Amino acid sequence: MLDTARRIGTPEGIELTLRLAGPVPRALAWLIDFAIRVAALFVLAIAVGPFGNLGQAAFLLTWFLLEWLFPAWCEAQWNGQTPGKKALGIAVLNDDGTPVRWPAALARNLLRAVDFLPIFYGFGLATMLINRDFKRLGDLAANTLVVYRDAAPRGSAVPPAEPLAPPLALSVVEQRAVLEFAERAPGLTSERAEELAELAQPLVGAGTGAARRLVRMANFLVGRR
Amino acid sequence: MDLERVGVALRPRQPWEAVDLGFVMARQWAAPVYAAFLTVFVPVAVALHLVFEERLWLAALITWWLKPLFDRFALHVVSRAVFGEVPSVRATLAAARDILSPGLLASLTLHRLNLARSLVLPVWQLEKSRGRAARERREILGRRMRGHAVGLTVICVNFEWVVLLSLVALGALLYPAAGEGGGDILGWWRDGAPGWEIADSVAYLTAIAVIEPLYVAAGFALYLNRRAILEGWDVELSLRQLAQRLVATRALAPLACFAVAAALAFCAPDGLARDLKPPETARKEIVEVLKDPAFQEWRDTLRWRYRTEPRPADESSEVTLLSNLGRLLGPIAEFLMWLLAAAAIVAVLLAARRFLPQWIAPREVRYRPPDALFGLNVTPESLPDDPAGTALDLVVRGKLRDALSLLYRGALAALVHTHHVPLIEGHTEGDCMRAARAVLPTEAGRYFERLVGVWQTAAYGGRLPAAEDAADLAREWSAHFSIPRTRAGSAMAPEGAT
Repeated sequence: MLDTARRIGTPEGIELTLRLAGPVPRALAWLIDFAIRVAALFVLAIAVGPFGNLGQAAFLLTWFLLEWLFPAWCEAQWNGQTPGKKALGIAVLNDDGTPVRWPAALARNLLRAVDFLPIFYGFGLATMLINRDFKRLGDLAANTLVVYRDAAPRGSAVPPAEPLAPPLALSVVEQRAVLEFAERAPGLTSERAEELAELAQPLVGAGTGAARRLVRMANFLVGRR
Repeated sequence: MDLERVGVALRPRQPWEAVDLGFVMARQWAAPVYAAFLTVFVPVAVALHLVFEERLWLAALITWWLKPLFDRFALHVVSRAVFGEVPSVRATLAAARDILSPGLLASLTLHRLNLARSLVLPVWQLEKSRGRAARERREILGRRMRGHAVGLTVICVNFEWVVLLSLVALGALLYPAAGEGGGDILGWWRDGAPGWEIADSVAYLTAIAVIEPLYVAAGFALYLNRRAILEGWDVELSLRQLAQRLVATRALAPLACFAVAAALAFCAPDGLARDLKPPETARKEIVEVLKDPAFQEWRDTLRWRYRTEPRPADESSEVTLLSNLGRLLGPIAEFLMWLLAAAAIVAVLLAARRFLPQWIAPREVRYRPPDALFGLNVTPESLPDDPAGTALDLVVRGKLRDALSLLYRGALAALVHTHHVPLIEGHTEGDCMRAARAVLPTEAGRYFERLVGVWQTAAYGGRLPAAEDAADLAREWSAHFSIPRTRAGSAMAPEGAT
């Protein structure tokens, strides 16, 4: 099965699913960060204008810090998110799913200079397209991943209906399928919902109202009696 | 379309995740996808450049305009590969009529500049819908995803330029003569003439060839995700699997029946229902179970808070012992602290008095006229009302020494009490003379010098002046000195006068 998710086992025996973020959202996040940096420097340039050489020195120093250290600082201090990453709902994590700290954040951001080669992140884009985890060179060096932080879209809660015990014992996976159907049913057309429910004929039986019966079983499974 | 053969994980995704899945799909089936794309793209582009040899920019522009045409071949391969059937290049070309059939004209004219065209293309090509039906489908599919499809297009255009400029810059980096002799660093790439050249076309077409299949795959993934959510594809898959298992179980049922019946004979008939507890009990049990430390979350936090907040009392005996000791030592320590503070304040004040004299000026030591100078009584009371007359009288009577003494005493008393010269007992005759010269008029000063000289000669040398000289001194005395009536009249001696 082709997927953008990576599963990681923790020492506690818990499986974590990391949903990797690819070049397009990352490029958008970079664009937002870039716009913020340019805007900040523009305002600063106006502000330091009257201070002559001293102002120029302050401007150049700020530019340097903003360009080289600001993204790393954001990622180390802000749950791995720069403002652009926050806007896109993505964040940097270590390969093992732990939050990034200063060394990793610094490494991956200093290596942006390499990713930038030959110009405009050509190498970064190429590596991201080739690497199976969408890693650019900085990520490869720092052992970091960029993942989605916001939750995957989910259906609403199971719509209430009179509970109906399933005639057969169901495995956990099958129970989950029934629940998933009930949660998603309000978003489907009624014909499609009926069609889907009829697929589970051995469970719901023949005849009309299959979707309704399946939702009732879901109500039983979530414990409404 | 056979969902059970689908080769990608069909979970509902955020739109950007779907785009990422598209990139993964293009990578996974890179060989067939790029092969099909390039098989059409390269000949068309080359033919165009041969035809418009004189106007290469036009050839590049037309190639760019024809992108939706090439896209269809990439989409054909990706959409089939997702469902487990990767078509060969030959099969793809054979299906060209089917691939190009509906909507090609619209996609090259009306919809060529549609920024969401990657999302629209599957509606025409895969659903074969046209006209009004196609428009409605586009609206339904684009309701949540159109913005993301537009974003995808914008970013992919930028990616094309990144590839294009990177190719140029990489060549410039590796070109040995770049930047030497003031030459054009892009000299390796084009000869520097203005206008569109074949080198420009090659770089640009390379960029298109790299990015366009990715773009198509990402758009298709957006479409796929939208349909999977709208139609519950993932639900369909899992329900189908459920049905399959149940049917298989039912086929085995006669066999299993005996075993189950035998087992059930010894236990309650509806084991499933018996295991289930009423919700109230279950809820209580859940609460009990959740009280287990395994479900608790412990977190160390550090924060500021007001001291007025009551502190949690420690009850352990060791701590009580310690706190008793603390209660004993506390007041002592506090007392010592106050003592130390007082000492510090005193020290500071002393230091201030010593080091900051301009702040607290030293008190003026008030002058107190002495009663005697050089063993001579100089108080006004001790003198006669007319010292000069009395002295003259003494001279006449031959008591020269007494007369000089009286004149000298009177002069000193006059200096102290009339002229306010601060003479003290430690002064010598010389000191008195200098002090007198500073305050007395010149004549009087000279007279005082003469008087002192005569007095010193008489008192210490034992050589008395002639009676005439002493008489002169006595006669002149009143011209220069006068004695105040009482000491109380002296402004310089307010203290100790009474």
